[in-house]
Amino acid sequence: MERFNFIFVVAGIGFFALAFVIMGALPLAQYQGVDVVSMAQIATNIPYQFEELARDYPDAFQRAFGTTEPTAAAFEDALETGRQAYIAEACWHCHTQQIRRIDPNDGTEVGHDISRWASDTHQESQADEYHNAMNYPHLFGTRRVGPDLIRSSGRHSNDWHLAHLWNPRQTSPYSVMPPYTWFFDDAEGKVPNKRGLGIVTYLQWLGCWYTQFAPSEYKDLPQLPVDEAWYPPYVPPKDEPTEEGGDDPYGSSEEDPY
Amino acid sequence: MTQTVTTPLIRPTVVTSRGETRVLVDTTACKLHFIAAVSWIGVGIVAGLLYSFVFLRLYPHEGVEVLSPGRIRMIHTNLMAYGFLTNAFIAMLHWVVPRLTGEPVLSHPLSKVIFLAWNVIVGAAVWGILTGQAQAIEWGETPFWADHLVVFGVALVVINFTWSIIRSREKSMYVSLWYFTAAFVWTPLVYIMGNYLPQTLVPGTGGAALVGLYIHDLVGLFVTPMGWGLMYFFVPVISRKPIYSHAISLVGFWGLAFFYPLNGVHHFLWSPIPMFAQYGAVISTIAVEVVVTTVVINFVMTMRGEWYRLKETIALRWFMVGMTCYFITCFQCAFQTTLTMQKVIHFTDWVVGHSHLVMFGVFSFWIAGVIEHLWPKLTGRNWWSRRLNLWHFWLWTLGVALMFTDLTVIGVIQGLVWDSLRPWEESIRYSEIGWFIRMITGWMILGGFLCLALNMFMTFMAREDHTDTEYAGQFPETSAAGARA
Repeated sequence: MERFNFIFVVAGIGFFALAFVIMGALPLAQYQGVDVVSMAQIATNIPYQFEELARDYPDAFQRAFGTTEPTAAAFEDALETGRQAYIAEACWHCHTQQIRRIDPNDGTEVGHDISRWASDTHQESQADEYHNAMNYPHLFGTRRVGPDLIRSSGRHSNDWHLAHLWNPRQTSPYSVMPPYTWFFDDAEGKVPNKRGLGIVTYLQWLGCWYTQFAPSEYKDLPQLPVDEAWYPPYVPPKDEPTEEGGDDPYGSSEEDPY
Repeated sequence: MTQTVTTPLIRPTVVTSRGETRVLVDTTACKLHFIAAVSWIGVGIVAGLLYSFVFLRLYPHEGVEVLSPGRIRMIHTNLMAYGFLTNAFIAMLHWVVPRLTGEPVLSHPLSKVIFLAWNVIVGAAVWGILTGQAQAIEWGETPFWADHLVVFGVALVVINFTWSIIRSREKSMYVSLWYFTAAFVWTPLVYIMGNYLPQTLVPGTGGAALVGLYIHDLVGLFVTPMGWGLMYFFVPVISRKPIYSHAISLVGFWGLAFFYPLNGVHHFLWSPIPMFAQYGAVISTIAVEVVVTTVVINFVMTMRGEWYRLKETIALRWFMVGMTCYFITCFQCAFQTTLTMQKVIHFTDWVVGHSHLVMFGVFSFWIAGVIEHLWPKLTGRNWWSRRLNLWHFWLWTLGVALMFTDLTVIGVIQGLVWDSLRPWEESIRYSEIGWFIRMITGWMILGGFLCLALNMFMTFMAREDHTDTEYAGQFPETSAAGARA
């Protein structure tokens, strides 16, 4: 036990290999046979916020992705750019991407993580949420200065995100987040560049897998000036009850909507 | 003061264990690595201090892309790991390994090449991180292209020193060399596992398990064995007493070797990683804490009857304060790793305090003690000022104690505020005072560093030996120059 060869083989290689098998390979074996979701598959469910970006910032979008339309290729490009920016700025050192069910033995309590970040789905983070091409490597994070982001899709609008990136204290007065002015082309923070569009796309994508988005209707939308497009005249709702009956938004079925 | 060498461990002789006449210790490489280490820790401390301003909304370089706080944070952690700790460890290995094996390293010119190559790699990694090419692996944010270079550099270091161990004709292998041998195997394996697999082959949760192993193994299988190996050498040398118990040394080494690699997943408790891995990590973590406590006991017992020397010998003071921090860290770790405590303290500043206590309060303190001991030998001059060394010691000790207490307290507060489902902003508002105190401790640590750097520089530049004898009697070994004679 005090010889070079013994220490080299047993402690050095043997114990390391043992730990690798137990702590690395066995957890990995759980995902055997489960295909990694590819970028092309990810791009089949494009969150509508990406279309909004294309519509609201057509020039910037054209410069960034070479097209004015929110195509799947542009979406993949934007996601990859956004992820790169997220890593380059070390966003993951202050924002986690992991919702814990920290009190599983209690029938009612789900813990503050779920109450705070997943109050809609009541679903803690699942392994399959990370089993895709955007998680090489994963971005769980180990410190949470700002909010968790794994379900950030739709939590805020694109404009909120851009204003927040330009100057976080505009939208969150007590935030300690630094501004990211280099995500914008101009000196006033009104024209996002490729990284700006990418990071917003990425944030709007995180968690969007809980929603099924209809195929893009972008081409059919009237090309109106932004103000008119965004403030359509108010139409009062009809009084008639829906066919399914009642006010139950999920219909009368007892099925779990999730 | 000339004294004969009483312990067989130290043999700065030119007759190697194979009876050849060789230069045993490359003191130039040793000196160069120490200078590099101290330079990098200076940059790293400034980076950490700058980052602490972000939390007070006082960051001076807002809107400057290359000085973005996120990037500065990665510079802070990576420079500490690869710039400071690695350089300092290589310097000490140059001093220790040939003395224990009686054989020089593979090649002294190669040592200089390694010095240059490693620091160019570190510089390139800093440049890569500042220009936004970081990789999303904690403790391995060096750009992916730099990882290949790091593996290459580590391989050179391992070959250079392992040669010395393999060639040795010594009858027995001293404890330090057990740790070094194991670390020479573990470090490349750990680095390759953590930086390549999650990046290229294993996505998501499976990759997270591997990254968890990597985060912890870098501390447990590279830094810790190096640190313990050096303590096993320098504590007996400076206190001039043999290690208390060989049996405890064996228990400590083999316990660490078995349990430490199993710990990694405890960085991601309550995550989607399978629960059997999480439970296993918790149990083995608690086992590790028991094991390393035996090592601490070994050193405390070694110091029996020698404690008065802490008054005169600052190096021993660094070692024992580091040892105390190590015990606190491990004691704390055995509790904080439980799933119950993780509910509250995970993701909070508690963890930041814990990591500073380990990497700074333990390993940086040990290195500071070794520098305290070796720098006069390497330069052939007494320390320029003992007073500065004392300032260095107290600023760092009080700095890390205050930082650790402060971050632990606000960590608990943050966790409880989150748990109470109050608005997120409240956790920030409650933390502000703690973040302010942390900034103050950053200044203290920077001040301590300046004392060290100034003292090292003035000692180095001194034309002749100081005549004050405050340090006399502290050097039982033959001087480094003796090795060349």
